[in-house]
Amino acid sequence: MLARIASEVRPVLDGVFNAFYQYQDSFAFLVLSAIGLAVIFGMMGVINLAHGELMMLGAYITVGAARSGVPLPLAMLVAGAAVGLIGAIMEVLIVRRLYGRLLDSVAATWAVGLILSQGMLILTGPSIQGVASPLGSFRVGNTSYSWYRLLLGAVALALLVALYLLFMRTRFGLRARATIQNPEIARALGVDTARMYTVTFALGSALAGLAGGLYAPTATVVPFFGTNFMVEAFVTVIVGGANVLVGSPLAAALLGAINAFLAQTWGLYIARVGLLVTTIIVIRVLPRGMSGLVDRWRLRPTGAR
Amino acid sequence: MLRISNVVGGYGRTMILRDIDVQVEPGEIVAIIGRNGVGKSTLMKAVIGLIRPATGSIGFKGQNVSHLPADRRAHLGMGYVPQGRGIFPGLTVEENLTMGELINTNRARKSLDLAYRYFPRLAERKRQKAGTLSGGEQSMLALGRILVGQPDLMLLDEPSEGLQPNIVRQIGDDLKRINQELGTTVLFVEQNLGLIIHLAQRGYVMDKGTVTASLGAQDIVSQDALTGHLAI
Repeated sequence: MLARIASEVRPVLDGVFNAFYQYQDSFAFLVLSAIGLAVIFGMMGVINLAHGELMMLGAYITVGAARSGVPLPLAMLVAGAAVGLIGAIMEVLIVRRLYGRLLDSVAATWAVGLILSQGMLILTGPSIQGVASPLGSFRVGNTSYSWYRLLLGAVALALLVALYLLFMRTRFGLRARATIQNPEIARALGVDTARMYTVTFALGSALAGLAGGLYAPTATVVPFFGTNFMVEAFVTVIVGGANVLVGSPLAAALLGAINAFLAQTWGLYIARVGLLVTTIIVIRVLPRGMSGLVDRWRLRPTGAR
Repeated sequence: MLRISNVVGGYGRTMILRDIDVQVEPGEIVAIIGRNGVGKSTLMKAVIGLIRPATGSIGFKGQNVSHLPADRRAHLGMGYVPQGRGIFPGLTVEENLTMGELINTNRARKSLDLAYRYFPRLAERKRQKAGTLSGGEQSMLALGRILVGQPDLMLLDEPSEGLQPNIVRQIGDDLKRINQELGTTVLFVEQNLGLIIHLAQRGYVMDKGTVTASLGAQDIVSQDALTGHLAI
C-alpha cells in the first residue's frame, strides 16, 4: 500500500523538482546576464552596448587565471575586479564625455564592444580551451542535474541581496541614489558626482565581468561569448525598468518562469520568442517597466499629511 | 565671509550677471532683492559653483574659491537650498537629512539631531518619503538638510516660494533663531517683502543682472521704504 503511494507520488515530486531547477536556472541566467547592464542603466541612464564584451572579457580572464593555477572561485573574483578596472578606464576616457547624449553613448559603447571582441579574435583566435564545469552532478528520478547550475541560482540571489544592501544601507548607496534623482543638488551638497559615475560604471562592469566568469565553465569561451547573454540582459532591463533593486529581480522572476516553461514544453527557440513577446507587451502596458509601477505605488499620496 | 567681486557670468555665452559686487560679513543676514528674471538665482548658482563665472572672483572665508566645483565649496562650508527646495522626493526624510553630512567637512561631528531640534516635525516624518511631504515640510527638510552639515554660510534661493504666509513667517523665525544661536551667516534671494523685512539686516537690489542699490537696516523697515527702492 505505502509502496504504491510512494511510487505514484515520486514522479510528481520529481516533476516539481525539475520545474524548480529549470526555473532557478532561468532566473539566475537572466539576473546574472542583466545585473551589470541594469546597474549602469538604472544609476546613470547609459545603455552600455559593450556589456556582452565585458562579460566575454570576464570569461577569458577567468579561464586564463584558472588554467595558470588560480583556484576557480578566486579566478572569477579576479575577473570581476579586472573588468571593473577596465570599466573605470572606459568611463573616464569615453563614456564621461557623452552624458546626456544617449545615442552617442550607445554608438560609442557599441564601438568599444566591437573593438574588444574583434581584438580578442585577433589575439587569441576563434576559441580557447575552457575549464570544466565544477562540482559534478546529481540525479533526481531519471534526470541528471548540475550542482554548479544550482550554485549559480544561489549566487544570483546573493548578488541581488548584496546590491540591495549596498544601495540601501551604505553612505555610498545613499549618495548614488541621490545623484540619480538630482545630480546638481547632490553636487551642491558635496557629492563628487563625477567620481560617483566612475565608481558606478566600474561596479556595473565588474558585475558583468563576474557574471562572464561564472558562466565561463558552462559554455565554449569564444570572442563572441557575450552575444549569448545580450537578449536576456536587455529584456530583463527593459521589463525591469530603471530601478535595479526592484525591477531586475521582478523582471527575472517573471521572465524566468516564462522562459523555463516555454523551453521545457516547446524548446529554446519558442522560449526566446516568448521572452521577446512578453517584453513587447510589458513595454506597451508599463512603459517604465515593473519598477515604474512599484515606484508609482510607493510615491502615492498618503492620507496623513 | 563671502566676497563677490566683479562677477560676470551665465549659461554658455549668454551673460546674465554683469559686474556683480556683493559682500557678506560673518553672522549677517543679507537679502538679495529683485523681480523675476534679473539674475538672482544665477548669482546664487555662481556662489555655490553650479555655474562658473566668466570673469571676476568669489572669495569664501578668505579663500578664492572661483576655480572650485560646487562639491568642494560645500565641503568648505556653504549650504545651498535651490529654488523649489531641491529635496530628493524618492528618499526618506532621514535619508535627505543624511545627505547634508558632506557640507563643511571641518566640523567633525555630524548629527541629524540638529535638524530635528529646529524642525521637530521632521522627526515625526523621518521614515516617510520626502515626496509625500507638504510644501512647508519640504522647506523645513531643505533647511534641516544643510543644517546637519553645520554650514558657515547658508545660501537660500527664494525660501518663501509657494508657501502660505503663516509658514513663511515661521520659516523666517526659524532662520533668525539659527542665525542667533549657531552664528550661521545667511544670504538669501527673495521677492516676498514681508520675509525680507522680517529677516534681513541689510540687502542688495538687483536689476538686469547687476546690483543697482545697497540697502542698509534703515531701508528695510517698512514695505513703503522697500517698494520705493524696488520701483524703477
